[in-house]
Amino acid sequence: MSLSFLLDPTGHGPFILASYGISFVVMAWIVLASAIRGSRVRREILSEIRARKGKS
Amino acid sequence: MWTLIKTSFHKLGSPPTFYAFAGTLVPWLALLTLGLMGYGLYGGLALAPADYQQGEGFRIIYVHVPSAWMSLFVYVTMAVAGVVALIWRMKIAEVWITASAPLGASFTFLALVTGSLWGKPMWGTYWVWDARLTSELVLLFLYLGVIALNAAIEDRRTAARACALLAIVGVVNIPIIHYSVEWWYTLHQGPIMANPANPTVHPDMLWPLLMMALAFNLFFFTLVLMRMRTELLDRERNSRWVEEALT
Amino acid sequence: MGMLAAFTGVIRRDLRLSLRHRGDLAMALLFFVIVVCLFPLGTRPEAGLLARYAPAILWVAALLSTLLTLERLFRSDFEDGSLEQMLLSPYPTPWLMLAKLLAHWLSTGLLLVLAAPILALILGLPAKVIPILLLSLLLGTPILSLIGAIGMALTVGLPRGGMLLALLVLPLYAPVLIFGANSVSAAVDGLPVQGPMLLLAAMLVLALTLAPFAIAAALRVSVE
Repeated sequence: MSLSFLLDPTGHGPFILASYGISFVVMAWIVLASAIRGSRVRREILSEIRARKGKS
Repeated sequence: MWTLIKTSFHKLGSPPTFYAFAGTLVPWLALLTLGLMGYGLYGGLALAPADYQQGEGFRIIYVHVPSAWMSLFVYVTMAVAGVVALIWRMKIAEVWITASAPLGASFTFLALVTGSLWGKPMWGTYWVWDARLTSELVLLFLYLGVIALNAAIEDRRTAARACALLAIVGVVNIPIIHYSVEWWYTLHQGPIMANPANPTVHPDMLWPLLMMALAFNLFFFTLVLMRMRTELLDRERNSRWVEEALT
Repeated sequence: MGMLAAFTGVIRRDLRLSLRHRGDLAMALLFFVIVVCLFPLGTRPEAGLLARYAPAILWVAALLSTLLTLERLFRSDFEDGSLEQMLLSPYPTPWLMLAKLLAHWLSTGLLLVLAAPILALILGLPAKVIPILLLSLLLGTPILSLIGAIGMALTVGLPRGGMLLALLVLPLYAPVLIFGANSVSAAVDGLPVQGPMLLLAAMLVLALTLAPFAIAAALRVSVE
């Protein structure tokens, strides 16, 4: 019961860290990109709605 | 009971109902995802004993296998959504395809990269043309094709229906591609036997894997619902329900 | 007009149009020849080396040539409106699509099959496996036309659909390439070829039965 892989003498440590690291990065990027796109679309639509209301 | 299922299914087909429903689900799914992933990672990295043959390196399995499973699962859901979209012309099904394609492509990419990083310590090389990696590579191209087709067509409705068809054609091909690559690989079998998974898996190694697989699954569902909401707003931006939902 | 008459009618029309544009057919054939001949230039022209890759070279060149000829399949019909007419006709669209594809293959894939033996000899492929090569191409090129037509139907309305078509269709070609080229390689090594050949034949049957429906559906999406 330890994070023994970090002190792994066979040298697999960097590969394990890289795998988990890139998985984390990709998943975080997906979340961020989706959230950013979501807020951008909402802002666009809100300004369109205000423009429409302003005209009428 | 059956009529209840049918009516809920039909109600969910309406964009405003789906938007609200997905909106309530997303936070819960996100929480569950984080919880399961945390517990799975703990089980996989700290609790599970080191493998007899592979040492610590086998722990990559906890991100590699769930990614690979998800890459296939997402494509199958896209194909099922494709059938629903083409036959019943359900907008929600169309939006599912558009929203899931980049997610599936990401899982495929992760499966390839983690597989490659597993390969280096195990087989001594970053890339080997083994049956699984090669089929996975072709699957990545199939996903990219769907994404590209969606981007190339102006009208959102036509784009979604074209992608629906492509997803259906692709799903028929996936078993064929997988089988043909396996056949090709056994024909040209090199001295390296590629079999990273243990034949008999110790239970302490197995439960974190199942937990991570479930966590990845919930991650996908959280994100696909998030993205579908955005997509629905985008497609229906001029309609009444969007105005009401956002103000 | 009965179903058979409609079928042969479409074939005759398409073949006549192909013959009128003989230049296009010649260009596809020339492309095939040039691509094959480029490979020796890219490496040392040792007979042994080339012969080992000959099946792959011939097959990949056939894939790429088929891709180029797919443009002709629906583009001009789409532009002058005859595609819409075909979709609206009383005859089942998949049936008419099968006819179009047969005409297409007769004017393109078949030509590739006929050109293959000479090119195989140039690459140093042993003469005794040429019949296997021909059989693999004979079974495979129709599959390439059928699958390619699905992609073409999806992209026919798009302005720069050519590259997209390649991206969509080439991954789907992978199994055909695998069984086709490797059956020839197996023959060179003296291994049995029934397995891959039967699988190619099975894929052909699958494509013949399913592709026309997919093509019809894709056209309906593209045209509307």
